[in-house]
Amino acid sequence: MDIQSFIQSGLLETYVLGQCTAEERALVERMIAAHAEVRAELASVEQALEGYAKANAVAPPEWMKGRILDAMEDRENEMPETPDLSVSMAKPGLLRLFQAAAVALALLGAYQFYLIKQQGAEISALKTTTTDLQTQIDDCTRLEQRAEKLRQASVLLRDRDTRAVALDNGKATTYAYYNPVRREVALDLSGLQAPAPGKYFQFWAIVDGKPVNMGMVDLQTSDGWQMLPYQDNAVALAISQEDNPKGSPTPTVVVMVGNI
Amino acid sequence: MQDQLIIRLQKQDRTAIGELYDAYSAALFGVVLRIVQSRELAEQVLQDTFLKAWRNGASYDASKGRLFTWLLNIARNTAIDATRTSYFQHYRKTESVDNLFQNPGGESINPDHLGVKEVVDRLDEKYRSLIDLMYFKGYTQEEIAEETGIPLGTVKTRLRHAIGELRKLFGENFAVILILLTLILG
Repeated sequence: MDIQSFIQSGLLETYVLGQCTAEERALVERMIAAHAEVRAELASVEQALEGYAKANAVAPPEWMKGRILDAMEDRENEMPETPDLSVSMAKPGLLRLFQAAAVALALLGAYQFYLIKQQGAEISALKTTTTDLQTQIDDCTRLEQRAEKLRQASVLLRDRDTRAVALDNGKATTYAYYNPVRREVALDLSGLQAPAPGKYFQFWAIVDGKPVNMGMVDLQTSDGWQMLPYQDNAVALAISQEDNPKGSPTPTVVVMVGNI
Repeated sequence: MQDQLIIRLQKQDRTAIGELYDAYSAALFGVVLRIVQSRELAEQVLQDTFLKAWRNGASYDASKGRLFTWLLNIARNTAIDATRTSYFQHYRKTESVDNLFQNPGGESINPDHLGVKEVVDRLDEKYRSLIDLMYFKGYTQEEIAEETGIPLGTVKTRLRHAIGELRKLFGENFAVILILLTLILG
């Protein structure tokens, strides 16, 4: 490009004002490098604008310089020592980008870890709550069953057809309640003393002179009542003491007996 | 002297920034203050400008322009970035052109340049406002054409004239000597 028309184009002015496109900038820099006249023109434009800025100068606050010098010192101390400064300064933007990315990743990782830990704590808290709830549901079910059993027992006790059968061993007496109409049998456990250690009570009905197994007596039930299977035509009820927790086909030792 | 300063700047020597500060901070602060229109923000921008100059000292190429031009472009870009926040964007767009030329907050002008300031005040208003819009407000020529309704070509011509006027005030003698020197030295 012809030097005079380049100078007249106004590109130097926009170059100094930092308002060139990348292409214009490259052209200006080529012209500066090639022509002393263009360099002189550029210097003149720069000086004019510098003079104008100085004419409009405003003194910054006194403390400003100290603050800038301190900030540089702080940042220099933060910079890691590198043997080859030119290499480390070669791509400061890229390095900083990597550093920022690494820090961001580390923070993200830590946050994820924190979240997972939080979730783990929440899950175990939920599990505990679930277990507690299940326990309460079980308790409720047991209470319901017990209430139902007590209701059945009270219905049975109030019934005119129920016969109280006293089971006696000479020292203590307990009662069984036998109802041939309702076809129900209930045993009051409150009068029954616990068997000897390692021994179990089994309940029997005597039908046609033979003992019929009515199941094991469950002393663990806390409500003091046990509903037992009904046997037709029973003439007596008995309790035997057994070694086997599941009972015996025939009574081993009869400890209590009572006629219906 | 200047060459030594540039070498130290390129090596990120902190003392170079101290000297640049002494030489140019007031001129830069004046420009920044008029761009951001807030003393607090201008102080932040000025600090950022010198920190950027320090970090990027290696990128300064004396063959492509004067130190002040380099510093001023860092300062202007930093200041313009600061005004790109929504608040300042709104502020700038709604401000009337008359307000642009008020000396913000009646700041004290560097007494060395009081004489020059008076000369500058005598600049033709149409040139002065144009230079101020570009220099102090960070407007592009396209934006000026759009806002003032003056055709872009006219804006470009006027800018050249305006800087020509400034050169009469600040640069001409220096440029003549330089041209003569370059002619003599070939």
